[in-house]
Amino acid sequence: MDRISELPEPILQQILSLLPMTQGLQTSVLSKRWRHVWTNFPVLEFDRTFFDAKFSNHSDTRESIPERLRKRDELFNFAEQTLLIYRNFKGIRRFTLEISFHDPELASLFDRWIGYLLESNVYELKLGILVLRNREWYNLPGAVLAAKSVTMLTLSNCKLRLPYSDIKLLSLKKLSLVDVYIEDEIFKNLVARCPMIEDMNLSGCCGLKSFEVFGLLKLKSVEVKNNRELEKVEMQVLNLQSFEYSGRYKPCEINLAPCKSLKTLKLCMAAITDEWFHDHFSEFPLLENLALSDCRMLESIRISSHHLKRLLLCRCDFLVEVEIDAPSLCSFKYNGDTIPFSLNSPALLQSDIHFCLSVIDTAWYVQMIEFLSKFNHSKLLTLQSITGKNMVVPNELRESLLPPLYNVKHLKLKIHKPLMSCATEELVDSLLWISPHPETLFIESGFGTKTFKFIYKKLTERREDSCGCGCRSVPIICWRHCLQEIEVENVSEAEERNKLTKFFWKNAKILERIDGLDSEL
Amino acid sequence: MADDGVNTKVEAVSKATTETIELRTEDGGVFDVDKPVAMEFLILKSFYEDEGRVFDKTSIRLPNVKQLELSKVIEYCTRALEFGAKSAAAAGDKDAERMVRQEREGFEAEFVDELSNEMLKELILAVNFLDIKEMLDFLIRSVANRIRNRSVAYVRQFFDIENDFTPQEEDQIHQENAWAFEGVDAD
Repeated sequence: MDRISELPEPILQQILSLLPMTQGLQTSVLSKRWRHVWTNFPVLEFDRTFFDAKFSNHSDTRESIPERLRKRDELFNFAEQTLLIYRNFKGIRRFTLEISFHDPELASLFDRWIGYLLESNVYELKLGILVLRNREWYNLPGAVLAAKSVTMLTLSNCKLRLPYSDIKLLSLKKLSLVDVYIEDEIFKNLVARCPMIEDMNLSGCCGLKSFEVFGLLKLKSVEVKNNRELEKVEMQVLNLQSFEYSGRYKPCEINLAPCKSLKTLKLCMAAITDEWFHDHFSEFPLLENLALSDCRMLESIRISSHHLKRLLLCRCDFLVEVEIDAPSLCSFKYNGDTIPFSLNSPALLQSDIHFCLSVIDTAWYVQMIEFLSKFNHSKLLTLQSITGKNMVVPNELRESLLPPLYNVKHLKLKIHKPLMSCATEELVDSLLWISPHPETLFIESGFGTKTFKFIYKKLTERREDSCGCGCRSVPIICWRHCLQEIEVENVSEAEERNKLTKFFWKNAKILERIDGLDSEL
Repeated sequence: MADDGVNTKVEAVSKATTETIELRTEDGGVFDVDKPVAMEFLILKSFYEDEGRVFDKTSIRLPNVKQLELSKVIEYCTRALEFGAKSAAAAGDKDAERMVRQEREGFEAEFVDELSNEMLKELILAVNFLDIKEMLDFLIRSVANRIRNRSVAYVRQFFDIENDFTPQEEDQIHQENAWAFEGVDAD
């Protein structure tokens, strides 16, 4: 019994809105009810799938150019007819037009469509109109920027250029401008006339030199990334919670100081100085997430914050020292050199450390071990390495230095180029020196994750017999003395299994069982 | 499948002591549902807000809903409330928001995987009756996923839709929109 067709129209239309347009159209042949539902359907998406599927690359059909043009015209006709039907329909939920074209005459066709469309009170509008001719742009009809019903606007590949009469987007909540040409004047007007806006994204745009936002009490999230000519960013938005900027290393004046509610700040490839950073950071008492990547002018960072929960410092290649006092910090990610590092973060749960390329000599290892020791209290620590070789600590050093991560419970090594990596038992040997009493050890790469789970016997007193691993100086009992059982997963090669089996049996003095390294499988 | 006359009381409790409401399905199932979860059913909410809190444990009969469906609905709504709370706690932190979103997506994928086509349709009808917007959106997405890019014949069979067009009418529709029906016969 078909009870689904009895459901209210909006529900059936909601189903249709999630299907490709052509399939939606096909449903009109199912029954009279479905035909009725389709005819009143308020979502139109003329996007890649709509156009490409029908007149681009069918390898099984050899169509002549006139044939292709005929099909294209058919599609355009259909689109135009549909828009005419909807012209007086109240509230089209969503309209998308994404198309690229050579023929400059088509521009007026799209102007006309947009005209019809705006008369139908669309809510979500996505326009991506790309001209496939060098340095030519599709000029967006000004009426789009005065559409009173639009709540979500995404524009790509077109040009917003004066003169525009009346910019007013009273319902706009989310604005996204991608690869668009927009002049300063227009942006200024745009921003001043969308009082309800909550989310703004400006990426890859040209023409804009100055991104200035004042007032806008509802604005919560702003992304400004890779805009080619941007020279100035000025934000005076009291309720802003998240700001992300990516600058392609170009100098750009950035002022965010008035945004006191900021919780998330991400700066990438930004030409900011130590002074800028310290002045600004103190303005954000509520900051919880901070990410600084590829900020090459930073040399010395001092952070003191009660709220900071997550910190990322990656590839700020000229950093020489870092001082962090963050009692709420629970997540830390670092990619850089073994620089002097001071860390107060008792709540740290997970750390991710990637040492950048460097000359690997004794001095480097000493610094690296010193650096790692600052993260001893992290529950989970991930080490990232290209081949894993820089994580194999030389034996001479193991005798004279203290294992840095003796409190870490879960240690993971991520290898980027597993085919060039050293043998697994070499890695395990070194990792177990670095962290002598872990609960789990992971070695992850593109080929999967090798897992080692360690089960220890509770020893009541320290074994005093020497085991040549320098473990007496460490306040915990090293694995060689108390490891009872090992559970291994995903170690697949025979030679690997053999070597690991030998390694564990040789070194773990009270070992009883190893699961998962059997030679027969 | 419950037997008639056998009451299977199911406690749907997530926290310690919360007020519960008793819901009875048309096939004899009895459920004690946490009030916050039950208030997600807008059809119940209006009842409570009109009458005020009259009795501590009022028992409500749901004529269009069966046991199997209601237990699934309660499962989903309980988790949805939890995710909602987690999301609110993570507000402003995009990474944490993403994690909650992923966790939710994982749960929803598993939830829907276990549903047969029949069950999915029954749930839509039940949730439409109970008026639970969030879950309805989710079920609709799931149905769309199952019929996307399938042939007309498949969709017809999926929903069990009776064709009430005359052959001439059907032909006309095909002709008017020929390009949309190209290469569509195979599934």
